[in-house]
Formats: sequence, C-alpha cells, structure tokens
Amino acid sequence: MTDAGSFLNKEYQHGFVTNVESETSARGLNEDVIRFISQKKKEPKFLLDWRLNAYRGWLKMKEPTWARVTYPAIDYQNIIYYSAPKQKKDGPKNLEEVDQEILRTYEKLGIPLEEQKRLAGVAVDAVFDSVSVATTFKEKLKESGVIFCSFSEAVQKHPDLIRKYLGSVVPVTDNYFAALNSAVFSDGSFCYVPKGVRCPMELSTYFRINAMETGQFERTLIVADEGSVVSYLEGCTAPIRDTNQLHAAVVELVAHEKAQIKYSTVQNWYPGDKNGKGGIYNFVTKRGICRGAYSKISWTQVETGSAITWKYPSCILQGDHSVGEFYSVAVVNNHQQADTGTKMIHLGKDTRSTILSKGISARFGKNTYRGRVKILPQAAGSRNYTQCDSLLMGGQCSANTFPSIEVANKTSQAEHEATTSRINEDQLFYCKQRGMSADNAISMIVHGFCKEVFKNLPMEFAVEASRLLGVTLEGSVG
Amino acid sequence: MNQYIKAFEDLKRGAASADVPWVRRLRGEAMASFIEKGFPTTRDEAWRYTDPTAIRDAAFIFETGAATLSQGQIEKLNRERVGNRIMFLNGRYVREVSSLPENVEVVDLRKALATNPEIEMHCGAHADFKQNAFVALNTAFLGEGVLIRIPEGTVLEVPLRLVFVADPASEDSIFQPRVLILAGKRSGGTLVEHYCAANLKGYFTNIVSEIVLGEGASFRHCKIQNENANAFHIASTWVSQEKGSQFSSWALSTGSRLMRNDCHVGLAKEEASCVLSGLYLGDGDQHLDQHTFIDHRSPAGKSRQFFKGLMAGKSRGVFGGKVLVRQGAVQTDAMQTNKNLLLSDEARVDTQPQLEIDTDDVKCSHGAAVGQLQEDALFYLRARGIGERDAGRMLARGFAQEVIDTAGEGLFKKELEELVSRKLEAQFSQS
Repeated sequence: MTDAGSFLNKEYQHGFVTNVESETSARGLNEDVIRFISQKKKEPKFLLDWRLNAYRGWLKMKEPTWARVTYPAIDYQNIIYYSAPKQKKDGPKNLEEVDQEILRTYEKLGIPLEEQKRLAGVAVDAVFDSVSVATTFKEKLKESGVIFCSFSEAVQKHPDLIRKYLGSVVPVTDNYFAALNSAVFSDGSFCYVPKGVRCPMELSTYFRINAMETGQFERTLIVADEGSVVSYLEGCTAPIRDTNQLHAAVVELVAHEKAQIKYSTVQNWYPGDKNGKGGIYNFVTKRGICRGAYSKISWTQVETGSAITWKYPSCILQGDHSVGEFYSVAVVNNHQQADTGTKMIHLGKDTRSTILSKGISARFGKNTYRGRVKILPQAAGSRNYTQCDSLLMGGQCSANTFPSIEVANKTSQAEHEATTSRINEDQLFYCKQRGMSADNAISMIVHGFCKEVFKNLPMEFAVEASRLLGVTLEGSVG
Repeated sequence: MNQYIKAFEDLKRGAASADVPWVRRLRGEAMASFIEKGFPTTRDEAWRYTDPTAIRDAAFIFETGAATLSQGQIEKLNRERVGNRIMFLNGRYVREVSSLPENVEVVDLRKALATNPEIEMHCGAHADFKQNAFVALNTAFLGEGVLIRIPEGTVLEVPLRLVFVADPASEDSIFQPRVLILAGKRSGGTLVEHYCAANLKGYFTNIVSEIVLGEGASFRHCKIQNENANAFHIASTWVSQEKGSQFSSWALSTGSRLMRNDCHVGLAKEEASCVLSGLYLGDGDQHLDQHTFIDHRSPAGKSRQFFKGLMAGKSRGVFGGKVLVRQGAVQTDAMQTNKNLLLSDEARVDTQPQLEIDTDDVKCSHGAAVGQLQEDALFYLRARGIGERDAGRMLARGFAQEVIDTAGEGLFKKELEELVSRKLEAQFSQS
C-alpha cells in the first residue's frame, strides 16, 4: 500500500507544559497523605472515613492482571497524589480571577472559555490537574435548578447528596483502581438534575494532567432525578512526558425513574511516542445504574489516546424497562494498548441493551474488546444486541474480541456478532481509481467504519472525534 | 488428590517400572504438573462457567480387576454394530470383541509405548498437559488405549468406530483411555467415537485423544457422548494438521451429569482447513460444556464452527470457542457460530466466543445468540391443532436439524437424528 514515511512524525499536538506553581502532597501513599488531601479540601469527617476505608481495602487488593495489556510494575509509592495550582485567595469567582497561564493552556487546546460562554452554550467545568479552576454558566444552570459544580464544592455545599450517592454505584472496594481512586481522589465534577428538569445545555468538563509525575484521580458523580434529562461531555488531554503517568478515575451515574443520562467521552491523553515511551496509563472505572423504571443510560466513547487504556463503562439495568447503551471507537497506533468494553447487567424486566464497538489497530497496537452481558433469571423479556468490529492495519497489530453472554431465563434474547478484517482492497482500489490518494481513501473508509458510533456524539464532539481519528491514524498504513 | 498421588506411586513401583525412559519422564512431568496445579476452579478463566469441584471431591479410584463382558453382552454387541469396531470396556481396549479393518494398524497403547520409539514425537506432544490439569492426570497414568495408524494413501471405506462402554463395578471408578491416531499423507476416512454405559452407576471418564493428520489427509470425525446421567465426562481432542489436510468433526452431547468437551485444532501448516460442529442437549440438572480452540499458525488456513445448544429443565449449557490467528497466518478465513435455545425458565446458557487476531490480512467473524422458541411459530402450529409440547418439540427439532445437516450424508447422520429425537423427547416430557 502506501509509503509509511510521510506522516510518521506527526507529533502530539497538545504537548505543552504550563508553568504554574503547584502545591503538592508528599510523594507516596499512606493514611497521612489521605488525611492531608482531605484536610486540604476541608472535607467533612464522613468523607475522610470513607477514604480511609477505601485505602484499607485497597491495601488488601491485588492489581488485576487479566487484561490484555503489559506495562512495567507501577510503584504506587512514587506518585504524588495531590497537586493543586496555588491560588491567591480561596478560589476564583469569575474568569478574570483564573490564572492567565491556565487560560492560555485552554486556548491552545482550542477551548477558550470566553468564547465557549458566548458561542457554544456549553458549560465547562475545567479540571486543571486536581482542582476545578473555573466553572462557567453556573448561574444559568442554577435557574433551572441543576447543580453542576466541582466535586469539592459539592462536598461543601451539598454533603447530603454526596453522602447519599457517592460509592453507591462503584463501591469503594469494587476493584483495585477504583479503591485507589476512592482513597485519594482530589477533585472532579458533580451534577444533580432535579425532578422533571431537562438540562438546558450540554454539560462539559475538560480534564488535563499537567504537573509532572502526578496521578490524576478525578471522580465524577451524576444524578438524574425522576424524569430528568442530561447530556454530559468529557474530554481529556495531557502534555508530553517521558515517564508514564497514572490516571485512575471513577465515574458514577445514577438515573432514577424515566431519567436519561447521556455520557460522551473523547479521550486523547498522551499516547507515548512512536517507540512506546511515555504516555498515560488510563485505568478508569465507569458505571451507571438505571435505578428507576424506564430510565436510560447511554455511554459513547472515542478512545484515541493513552499508552494503555483499561476501561469498561457499564450499565446496571435495575429498573423495569430500562435501557443501556454503549457506543465505542477505540483506536490504537504505534505501541498503544487498549482493553476496553462494557458490562450490561440486566436485573429488571423488559430491559434492553445495545453494544456497538469499533476497534482500529495499526502498527504494533493491541486492541481488545471485552464485554459481558448478563441476563438474570428475574429479568424476563430482556434483550441485548452486540456488534463489535475490528479493523486491522499492519501485520504486527492485534485485535481481540472477548465477549461473554450469560442468559438465565427463557424469555430473554441476546445476540452477539463480531468481525475482524483489514481494509477491503476493493474499496481502496475503487477510491484510488477515482483519483483519491491512498491516505485520503483510508481516512474515508475508516470514518465510514466509525460512523455509527460518531453519530451518537453531540455535534461539537463529533467534529473533534473525527479530527482526532485522522491525526491518530495518519501515516499508519504501510 | 491424594488417591491419585498414591496410585501414581503404586504405578511407579509396579507396572510402570518397566516403562521406556521417555514414557517414564513424560508421566513424571505430567504428574508433577497435575500436583502443582490441582483441579481447576471457577476462578480459572477457562473454567469460569464449569465447576469441576464435584470431580475433585469425589474419591475416584482406578478399577483393578479387569472387567469382562458376558457372552450375552458380546453377542448383543456383535449383533448391534456392523463394520469396523474398536471396543473399550471401562476404559480398556478389548481386542476380543473388536473387529479391526485390515489396512489399518491398531495396537494396544501400552504395547506401542514399549515397542514403538517413533510415537515419542506425537504422544503427549499435541495434548498440552501444562495448560490442562485433566490432560495432565490422563498423561500421568498413560497406558490404557490404542494407537491407530492409517498408512499413507489409505482410505477407509467403512467408518472406524471406537466404542467406549462403561460398566463400572463400584460407584467411583475413573477411566482414563487415550487414543493416538496417526494418519499418513493423503489418507482418509471416517472415525466415530461413541460413549455409553451399561448400567446407571456413576463414574468418571477422562479421555485424551491426539489426532495427527499428514499432508493432504482428509478425515471426518464424529463424537457421540451418551454417557449415563450419573457420569462425569471430561474429554479433550487435540488435532494437528499438516499442509492441505482437512478435518471435520461433529460432536453430539446428550449424556452425563457434567461434561466438558474440548476440541483443540492446530492448523500447523498452510492451507489446512477444519470444520467443527455439534449439538449439546441438556435436561434435568445436566451441565454440558463445549469448548473449541482453533490455532491458526500458518497461512491460508480456513476454519468453520457451528454449534447449537438446547437446554431444558435446570440444565446449564456452556460454549467457549476461541480462534487464535498468529502473526504470519495471513489469509486466514475463520468463522464461528453458536446459537442456543432455552426451553425452560430454570435453564441457563453462558457463551464466550473469542477472537484473538495478531495479523491484518484475515477474514474472521463470530456470532452468538441465546433465545427461545418463537411465539408466533408456536402459535401457528397450535392453531393447527398441534399440542403445545409437540409444537415445541417440532420447532426444536428444526433448530437442531440445521446442524445435523452439516454432518453430510453418511452412516452416522441417521444415528444422530435418532439420538437427537430421543433426547428431545426426554427434554419435552419434563418441561
């Protein structure tokens, strides 16, 4: 096919470091560090106890090894668990008070807050390392009764809600990385949509890992009360570092009766250089629970970054007639590894789930879809449809598909289909014959391959996702 | 566990002391591997849905006295089966009631191990005891069984049938036969394995078969597992295929209390192809686990898999099928389908179709589904005066027939149809 050389040196576009003085915790992890974090954030006692409980649970757990990813052992004592940009006062009240350096960082990322405020109608809760630095559109949301703020703020202002929902979907000892996150999480976003409210705008956060050798442990909690509707966007980038950085986040979604949550992610953490040096370890636990009848949770993810991705956004379909969806595009190039997929647990009657996963592997990339559909005996009349396709580019990459389907009643149906192949030579030929360059032709075919997933993304994200896909794969065919 | 260690020590001091060195070494390594790993548990990924602790906890022992068939039984057997037959009674090869084809070499495995140094490169070389504790257990007690060698260019006109009859004296016997089939270049034919029991006592069959197909060889294989309802049946078939060879296997599983049937095919050289299909039908509290593993190691290999399950009563069906395409195995074409019907509210199916692909020039797909009989199809039949049970059975029969049809016109297709009908009868009389 084409000569690989031309685009090889495409560099990570978001790799720059912002010089902001950070206030950091001591290196390593022990109960004192957790107390330090908790004290820094002026947390109530229940939260400190909750963190310590998670930490003690974590000490007893072992790092999971079942995923198809390989990486050198992580030294958890060599990580700085808390890093906050130093601030003059207690917190910025408006955009003008936010550190100009930070604002410039966002501008380079292409999300100027000012512009967003005027144009897009998107409220951005930007997480800069660990502390949420600016929240826009808060007032407007307040009018409709939606609470959307940083996690720390929610802890101060709405401790009852935090206490009620935190850890209710992902228990502290759910898995190794979730337990670690529960112990040391520094900040994140919190959203509560009250009964019957349709959130007036798309909510969005932008995560960015900045300080060297800090892990980012954010926590997101979204609660949609009866009959409410909310759409949430999450985007991630990180600057270039030689060493690997750990990112262990937890996202919890709770949908009450007839509520709908749509959660979209475009993940573009630094993937490491073309020899596999550096890059983010993205070990994330995401789970939503459809608690009430007729509720719906929809996950859409576009994973183009990270050296290693370990991520399984899942749905627990507890309410009768509830719906779970998972749409995913995972792209691995060079030495990236992704082990991602979903779990759909059907507990309620007549629950439905759809899984659509597209994996693209290029060069030495390793891509694994791992999914589980579990229909319990009481979940009568449930349905699942799963489709996962993999596209391979190059003789050294790999694509694995590991689904499990467990059905335990005779009125439910589950279907799974998977295909793996490389780009169809005939399609390529067809495009090239009509005067397209090989790269353009491949780009077009790949976009077609991912289209079903992209169409589930909100407009702004779909454009970005499609651009990212192009950047990630450029020059990977040879 | 202890009884196996003790039996192994006894064997080492007794009969096995005369073993040739490589056999002694192989056995020793297998036993060491078995002791180290022990029986699998549901924590092992490969055994996630099948719990063999009942086998671990039962105190199975090796039968010492040689079982014999009564004259009446021999006569009955001789009446029942025409054609070529290799008989096993309680895991032991019985020469007297076997009728062997002329152009094929069939030797008692113990004798072959002692006298035929050539089989060293095959026996234990394909069945990997390091990854499977039951294979390790079988290998540690290597001895019972047969070596079947089909010479180059020989084509079997009549199917060769291996009949495994269990007639245990006590409730806790273990039978560990082993079959080694070496098929020469361009040889061909049909092999049928049939498992059945003469009484209702519980026992444990742990069989390992190794099949090596030479260049251009073409074999059909049929495994009929119809053990009694108290039996445990653990079987693994390991096939290694040379260039251009073809292997098609058909597995019908209706019997046993707990079954695990592993079929492992290595497409070692280019242009080899295999077709694996089968049906598993369960009722009562049967647990039937069908696993396949196809290892595409060379270019232009082709594999097809088609398995269906019908589960009634409180039975559980498990399917695990893996297709591995290694680097360099370009132009591989692999397809796998697994469909299951749940016939009762307490039945359960777990299926895990897996693709592991390490090169790009491939065409692979798999599909899996779990469902039930269609309401409107049932209604259609009932509206025409057919009772609910009969209507269900007819539809289930149609579902199964699709797989049976892939068996091709041969001597065993009719037999499969009969066995499936009988099992469906039992499934629908319960639900």
